[in-house]
Amino acid sequence: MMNSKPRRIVILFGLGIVLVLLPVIITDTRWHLTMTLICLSAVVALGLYLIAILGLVSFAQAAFYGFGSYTVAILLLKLQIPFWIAWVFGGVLSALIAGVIGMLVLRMKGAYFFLVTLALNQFMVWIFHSWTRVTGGYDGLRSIPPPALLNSPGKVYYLSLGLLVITFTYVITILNSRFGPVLRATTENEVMVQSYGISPFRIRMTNWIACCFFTGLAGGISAILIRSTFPTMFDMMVSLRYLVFLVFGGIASPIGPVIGTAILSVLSEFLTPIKEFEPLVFGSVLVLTLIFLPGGLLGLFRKKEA
Amino acid sequence: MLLKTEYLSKSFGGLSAVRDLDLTVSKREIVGLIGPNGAGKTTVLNLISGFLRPTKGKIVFEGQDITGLQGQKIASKGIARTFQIKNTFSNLSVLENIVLALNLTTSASIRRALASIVMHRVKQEEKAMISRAMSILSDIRLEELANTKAGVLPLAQEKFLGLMMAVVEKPKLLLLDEPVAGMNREEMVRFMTFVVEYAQDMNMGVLLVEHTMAAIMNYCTRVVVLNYGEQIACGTPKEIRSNPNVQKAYLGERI
Repeated sequence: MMNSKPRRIVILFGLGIVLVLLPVIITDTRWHLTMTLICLSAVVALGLYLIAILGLVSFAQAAFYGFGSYTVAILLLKLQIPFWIAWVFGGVLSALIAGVIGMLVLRMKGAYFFLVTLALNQFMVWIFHSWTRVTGGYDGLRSIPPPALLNSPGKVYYLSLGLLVITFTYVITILNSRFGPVLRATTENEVMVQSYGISPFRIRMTNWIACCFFTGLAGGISAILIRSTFPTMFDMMVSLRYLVFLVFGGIASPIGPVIGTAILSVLSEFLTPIKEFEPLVFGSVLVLTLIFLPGGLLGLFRKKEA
Repeated sequence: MLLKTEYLSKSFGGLSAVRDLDLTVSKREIVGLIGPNGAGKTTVLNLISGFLRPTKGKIVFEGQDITGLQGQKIASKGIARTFQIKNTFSNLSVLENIVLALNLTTSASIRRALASIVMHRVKQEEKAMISRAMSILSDIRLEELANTKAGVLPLAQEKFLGLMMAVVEKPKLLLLDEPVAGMNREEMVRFMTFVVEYAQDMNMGVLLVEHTMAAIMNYCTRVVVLNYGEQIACGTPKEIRSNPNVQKAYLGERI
């Protein structure tokens, strides 16, 4: 036990240095864009992971990503509010909407929850492209002015990496605290936790709100990264992508969604020449993972341990 | 009088599971609730603990009307219960189970989890909670298994753990649903002795649903017999044993 802790710190430190120096090592701006998107998607995947611990599979994360993105876009373009305020506001707004939606949706479980979040995602995308006056309709919003500090993908990378680190730390802290067993107990036996004075609904709600908060923040960064935002970016197929990242990476630990996101995003980059086939590839990855490697990539390592 | 039910009834559509039940439990009393299978015993426990809503009648606890309150609310008022099949969380370790049961004193919340990183006071409280949990475990000789998953515990130990989890927050009323089912005689005696001693020491009332007659007859101060949702007899274990209505309910009528 004593042996692994210092070793772990060294590995983390080394990893940290590599991650921080990445934009310097790889100077192609297109890769800067990819690396940043990996960080942002990993944040969303982590949120999915946290909700999944409670046995809930959400198909609405893309829409919350969109809320964050649109909020920043609208506040920056139309009201000239400084990015940092707009960004936090985007996260808070996503959290609030998650709270309201949660009152309805979190009373359901399993397949019902899944289907309702799917419907919700599409409903929210519909709002994005119908409310033309505010959201710019089908074309969305373009030419979003980033703050001077973040006017290149390389610079946005650091903000995204920071968000990823914070989200990851949040997840680890929660799981290792007394709250972790409460989450797992609620998933295992909802009736029994009530007899200890725990409200399963409240547990699901706080978890859901926290996760959508981080997702909204990630979306806000995306607005100034690609400097535009439009409805098809947040379609249900995007929600599916996050799910595939999570399943492929593994749900045994928070590292799973991060690794899954990184590997599949890089794979997706190499598939750009055959972009039309991407859904086919991703679908196959999902099905193959579920059949042969249900624990995801992490499942491989677990088996080795055993 | 700790607990009093008046005309407590529960129907599921046309099926009357419990009908007009007047039940009382006082401090330090061990009330046994027996009856043939399907008599409505577990339904009574579910009604009192708030997992089912009564169709008719009232439940009064310490002078307060608690009819219709939900499970969590009732738990926080000092009514603890155990369940028939599983009483612990299999996926959690033994220690985590006890710590979770301490939830009523200091609830596990996200805010607290985050606070424990920065606030020293919260960290100390959490540490104190864990050492308290460990000492509880050593009382039931499970401290060596603190980090094993509760799911691998043998039956008697799992039941003991479940019992400890129910009583750690010093409830005023304890509802036990067939707790000694599956135990051998020695384990049953140890379990019931603990319950009786604990009830005496802590001024706790106990309502015990059981099929194991040895547990009922040797440890209960009073026994209530249910058949088809209605009370057919009430008295000391001795009186119940020789009551013809009770015999009829369990064994049928002599033709």
